[in-house]
Amino acid sequence: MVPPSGDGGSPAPIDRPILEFLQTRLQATRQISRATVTDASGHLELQVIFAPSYYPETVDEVQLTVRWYTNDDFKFHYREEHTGHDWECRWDRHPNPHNTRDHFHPPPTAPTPGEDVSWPDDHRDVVELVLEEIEDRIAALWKSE
Amino acid sequence: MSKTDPEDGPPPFEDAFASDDVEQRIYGTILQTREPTTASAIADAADCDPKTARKYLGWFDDLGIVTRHDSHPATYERNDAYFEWRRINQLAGDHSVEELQELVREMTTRIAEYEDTYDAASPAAVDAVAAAEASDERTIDDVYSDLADWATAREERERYERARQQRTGGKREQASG
Repeated sequence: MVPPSGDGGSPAPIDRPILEFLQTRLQATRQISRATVTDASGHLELQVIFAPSYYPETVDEVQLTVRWYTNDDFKFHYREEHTGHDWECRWDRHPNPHNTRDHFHPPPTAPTPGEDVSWPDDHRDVVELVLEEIEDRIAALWKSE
Repeated sequence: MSKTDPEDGPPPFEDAFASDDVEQRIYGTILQTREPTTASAIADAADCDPKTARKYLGWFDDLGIVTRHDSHPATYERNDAYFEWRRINQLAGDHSVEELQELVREMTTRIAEYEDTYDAASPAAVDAVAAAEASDERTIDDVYSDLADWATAREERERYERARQQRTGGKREQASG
């Protein structure tokens, strides 16, 4: 539990070229209905909407928001909207006093502190890891139907 | 009586990066090459041979996407100035001067809200741990997100402003030419 003071200096802004690179590729896959780099929610991020056909009818909307920073920190926030409740988790890399720099806020509520883990360095490898876990989640959802 | 079998489920996910050719893989690697790096290390990361990597890195150097350093061996890194230039050109092409002014105003408002919330002139001046401890609503993760979003808003405002200047500058040239 080392406080992050002095770690990395100034807060790093969003790396837009990386978000645009990921947007083009995610947009082209059948599991994703829309990927947009937008600041409509008050901050810049890549919003990824999953195709409804991948989910049972009890799930209203599914969104993954991606923030990747110029110091290679990141936040991937996955959220399923069910009637009456959300199911969410987060893959994070950033300095913090509650976990290691790489950590996971587990479902269904993405609590803090999360679990200490270690993520790959390359942005494409992180995306593949996140998508694999979402695919496993979808398989579990259909099984429980 | 339903014919749908819930056990079927949807088809598997498509691989988002499967159709990237070697040039696109090197480009993707370059995006995260933030320190001078040799062609062979870039080739490793992009899963190609060093000769191919050198060929594309030479091309990216001509375009300005990477900066080449003439050390032995030569090293390469992402050229941030290229991506700034591309973004500002794109903004100047997509928006009128009035729209860009409005975007600058929106960013100024957003930045002022962060300055207010954290009682500081810039995100670098905020002690994130102290700010989280002093707040009932914001966790340390929220504070870090805010500080990074604040830094982003400052950069975005600068880009909108430079795009606006580019457009007004371009208009003047037209009028005088």
